[in-house]
Amino acid sequence: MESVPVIQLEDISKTYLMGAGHVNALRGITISVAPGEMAAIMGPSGSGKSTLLNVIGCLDRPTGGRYFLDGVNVSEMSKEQLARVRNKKIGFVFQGFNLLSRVTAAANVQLPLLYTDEKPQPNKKEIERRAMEALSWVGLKEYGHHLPTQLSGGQQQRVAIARALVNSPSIILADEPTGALDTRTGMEVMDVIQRLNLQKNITVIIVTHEFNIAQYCQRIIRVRDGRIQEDLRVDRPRVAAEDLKEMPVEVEE
Amino acid sequence: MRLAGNLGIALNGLRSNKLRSLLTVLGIVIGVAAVIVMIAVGQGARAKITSQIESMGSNLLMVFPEFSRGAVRGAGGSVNTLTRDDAEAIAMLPYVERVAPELSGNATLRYESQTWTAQVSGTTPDMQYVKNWAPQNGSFFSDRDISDNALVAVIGRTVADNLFPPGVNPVGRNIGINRLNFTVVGVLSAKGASIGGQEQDNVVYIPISTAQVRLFGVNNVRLINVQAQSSESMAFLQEAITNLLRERHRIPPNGANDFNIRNLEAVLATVEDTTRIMTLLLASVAGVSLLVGGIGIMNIMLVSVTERTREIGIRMAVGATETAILTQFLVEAVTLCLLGGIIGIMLGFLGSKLISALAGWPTAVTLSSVLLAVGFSAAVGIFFGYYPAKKAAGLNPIDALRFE
Repeated sequence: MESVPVIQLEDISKTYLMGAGHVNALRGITISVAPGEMAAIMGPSGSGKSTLLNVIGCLDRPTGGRYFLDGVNVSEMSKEQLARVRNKKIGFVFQGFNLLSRVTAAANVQLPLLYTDEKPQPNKKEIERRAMEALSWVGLKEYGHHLPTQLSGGQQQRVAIARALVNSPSIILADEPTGALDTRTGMEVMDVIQRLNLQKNITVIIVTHEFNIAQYCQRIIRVRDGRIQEDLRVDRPRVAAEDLKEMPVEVEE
Repeated sequence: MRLAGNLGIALNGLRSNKLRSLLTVLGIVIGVAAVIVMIAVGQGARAKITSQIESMGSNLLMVFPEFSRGAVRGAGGSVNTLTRDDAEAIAMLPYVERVAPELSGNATLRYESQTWTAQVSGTTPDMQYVKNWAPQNGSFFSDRDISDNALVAVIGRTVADNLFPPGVNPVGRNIGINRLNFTVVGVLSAKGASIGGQEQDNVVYIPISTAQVRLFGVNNVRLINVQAQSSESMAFLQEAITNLLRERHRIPPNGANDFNIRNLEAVLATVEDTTRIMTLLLASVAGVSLLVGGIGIMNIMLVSVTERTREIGIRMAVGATETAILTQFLVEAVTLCLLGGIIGIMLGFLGSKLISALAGWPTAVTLSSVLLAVGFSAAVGIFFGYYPAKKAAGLNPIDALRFE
């Protein structure tokens, strides 16, 4: 049965005005991502993959083409409407974690719930409960009251994942999620993302330039010069949990 | 998003940067405190001066003799154009409530071995109503005492305190004034200093007839106090008295008056105007410091927006709308200002109390000045917070997230 694609890009283009001339960051991208898919977007720097991620994440509007998110055309929405779409349907995971450093892990996870336009508005207790649930899910139940600076890189990224999933989004967009982490910690984070995809059936898009990471996805989309160069299905993606077992446990010095 | 949520975010932002928040609000604190203290000092001065003038009597016209060509000069060198007959004629005029002539001079008082110098003033019983000054103890002398040239006296508080030993009730005692023996019939309540800082309680009132005939040996009066029925009738009365006295003193149409009428209401109005202007002046100087405080808030908010660019990006990425960001920073600025306002009010209150205690200058912190200060600081917050907040809300989330 063919279901409605969660992401459907139709001939998306993006042109930036740069001084005198203009830069074509995206030149006619058409992709369709089904619900529950886990895809990697790969490409060298300057290929337009970040712009593509920004468009998919509703942080930026395309200059041409149409974008349907969950069947809704979001390419012509106002900034205000896009903010609401981001709040409801999209969770972001960044390379540099992007946590608020002055508030606790729990408060960071609660952040999207403060901006929800859900009716009725969740009360303080409900917000705390949902944030705690998300933190438990990433295995940081005991760390809610810690400040980000008191956590390791892997833990910080898991807090960021908890923040991304607290609003039950349709898609999670991860921009180089393991870029700032060592191999083992990166693997742990990939494990969380994979479980998120499998157990919660959330569509995941990962932007990466590491093939190692892309191997954990069911689909690899290569971008070059603002066009899709290759769109590959991976028959048997690697499973991070299994790879973790193989890895030698690092001894802390 | 709810306002409560915004307030929570704003307070968290301020709490996580306590020292800076404190320094930022300092400008507002000082501004608000200055406004409150200045208005309090101004209002206090006004209240004091007004009450001093009112203590002289309400709706009062004071008729003084004045030297002019053709006037007869008295033996004592003073001008003596006014008489008791003039006072009685004035009392016949319409709109006159009461008339109290006065003839006064300094004299030495004696009780047993104690002596004391005070102003001795001959007058009529109406004096107590004109000046709204009733005896606290005993009573004023009567009209009968005037027709009898009686040797009775009503003494002021200062005289009572200095001439009589503590615990002695002066009423019924005999005191010597120059060589005459008077019986004290009443002690006046304390009235305090006059506008000029003159002591008003160092006085002895005796019947005017006694003062003229037996004490000073003259037949003029030094002053006629005229109380009008209402403040509206004072201008009319002033003119009526002028016409009456010119006629009685046979002053030709082009001749100058040999008397002078002072209208206390007019003096009061002038003084009130002056103090109002002074208060306004003080408050506007203080207002300038509030404005400077506001600019300080704007400065810090701008720095804060730049510093928190990444935070703004994160918030936008997780779904904060421009309105939500704008509200957050605006609420932060207003919270800062109101916080400063509240501390400023408390400080201003303490400062006012300190000034009254140290300088003996009366102060009055009024509700209106507190409301003004709070309203002004909130307005400063919105005015100076809007631009930085708008700047924050206008950030592009992608650039904001990339900001280092």
